[in-house]
Amino acid sequence: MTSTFNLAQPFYENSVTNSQGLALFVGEMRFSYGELANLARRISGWLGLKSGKVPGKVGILASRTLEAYAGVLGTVWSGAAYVPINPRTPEDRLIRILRMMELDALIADQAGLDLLSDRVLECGPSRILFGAGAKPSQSALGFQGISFESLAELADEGPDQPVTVAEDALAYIIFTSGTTGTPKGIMIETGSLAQFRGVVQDRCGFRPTDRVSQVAELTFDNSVLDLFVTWAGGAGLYVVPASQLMAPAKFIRDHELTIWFSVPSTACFMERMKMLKPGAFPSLRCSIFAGEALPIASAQAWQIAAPNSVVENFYGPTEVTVVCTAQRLEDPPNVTRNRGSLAIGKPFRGIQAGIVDANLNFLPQGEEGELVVSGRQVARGYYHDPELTAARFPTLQGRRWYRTGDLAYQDSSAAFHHLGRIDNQVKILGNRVELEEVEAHLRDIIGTDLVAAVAWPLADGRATGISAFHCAAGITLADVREGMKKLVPAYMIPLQVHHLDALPLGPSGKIDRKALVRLLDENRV
Amino acid sequence: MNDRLVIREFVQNLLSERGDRAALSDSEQLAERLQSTDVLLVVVFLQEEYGIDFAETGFDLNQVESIDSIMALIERRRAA
Repeated sequence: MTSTFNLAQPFYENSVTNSQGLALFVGEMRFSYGELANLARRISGWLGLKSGKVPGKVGILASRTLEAYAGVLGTVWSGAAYVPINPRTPEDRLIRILRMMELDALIADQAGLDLLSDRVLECGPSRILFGAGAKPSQSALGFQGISFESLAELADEGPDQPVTVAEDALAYIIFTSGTTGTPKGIMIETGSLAQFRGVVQDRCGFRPTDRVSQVAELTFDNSVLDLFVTWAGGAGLYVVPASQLMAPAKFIRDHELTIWFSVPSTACFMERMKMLKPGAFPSLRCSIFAGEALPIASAQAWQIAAPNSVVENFYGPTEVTVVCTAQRLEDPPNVTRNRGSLAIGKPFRGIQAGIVDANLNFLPQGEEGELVVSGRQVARGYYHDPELTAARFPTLQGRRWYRTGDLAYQDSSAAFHHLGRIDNQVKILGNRVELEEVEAHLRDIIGTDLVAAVAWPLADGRATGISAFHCAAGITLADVREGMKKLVPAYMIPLQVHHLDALPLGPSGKIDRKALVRLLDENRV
Repeated sequence: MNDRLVIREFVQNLLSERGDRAALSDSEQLAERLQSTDVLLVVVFLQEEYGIDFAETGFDLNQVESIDSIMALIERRRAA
């Protein structure tokens, strides 16, 4: 037993004891633990040996390709932190992230390479690794000061085992919506991930006979469970192709998946498409949902479709390493009052959870307030933002807590219930969006301060898009969408844009978003 | 009624509900203009009007990527 916290260590141990076992199924290709370990080692060699120093941070500009998964493994094998970046990131946002991160290297698939314009190359690292079938553009290859190397040509060298890493080393940095318009980077340590992984492994028992879905993008920390708990258990990771993500019933059946993990919206979509027929997924033994409220009706429909499965509702902000509370679907279910959703349940082992008022005083059981969480899973903080870190990670009663911004209460069985947000953050199909970020960009595009954004329309109580309001003349939906496309991911682009003579204000003089939602609900725009 | 006209009208109605009234060609990539919840409405429409059982065939976004693709899907269902 080693005393290293390298994220690749459990994967490596499985590659020794079970090198022929399937580690990864992606794009119709299968890779064993032995093959993937070999690739990770060579990537680690490229990262460490050629530059002469241990890299700190490596960008993974890839999605659903071998480069993505081998890139993450190779990075952590070498002792560095990985920074996932979605290849569908608009250029401006990509440049902001690269300037902020000062990465040591970048690993990209073709979709990632296609983003490497001159403007992007100017801000990124000087070393880029790309996949076997991929090809950088002539212009990129000719860019001064950047060296490209192909996975196919890597030397067969690198540390035989994952580099020893301390428990407070950085594991990954994941970006999320920031209210000012600049994304914020959440720093998670290896010790936090080890704690999280151990708890989930004890609860779900991932093993070599398991076939686990990989649904979430690497930029969504649900993927951390997919990759690292699967590989710690010696199980096989099955990557759902992008074109099937909306409703992958056939994929589950074709590959006889045993463990499923997605946002609840996927279950809801599959239900609407009549895919949740009784007994549709006999192979599933564990189905996990996280990232949004889980409607009871959807959980029960999934249970009927997967009769041999436990159905779990996990909750947690990215700042507390993926998830930190759990509620199993039981009969009768533990329902959150007035919401029709399943409770978020009890804290994981090693997590303390409490409810506080606006002055951060702890409230008794049953009262509503902000959910705060403490324990090893809590993040180091926000990258290069000590002020925000201090504000969101206060010390209370001698411990360090994270303020989730979620409104919640604890019931008499000690389970927690999520009621909504205390701020203007919303979830669009599981993606975190600060409405103020959308408004910051709208102000730039429309050229006026008088803008507002709300999450609307709702389906089953979950937001499916953004609706925007402004008071400027001559602005069309197309103007706004074209402008936003260059700045933010697709789910942040407003579906509707409405002109109002004036924005409704609340008693404090701030925009009254509830009034705007009422206007939309009553069709009065 | 001509299936192609029915499909085109359905998609155009979805888009105009969003205030998107730009012209739509049959080969155009719908993913650029429709959100996932709109795609869901297209799928439900195809289930109800044309009896396409996505639970059987499996769902792939490529099947509904354009009006031409949707027409091909309907024709395959008819031939089966």
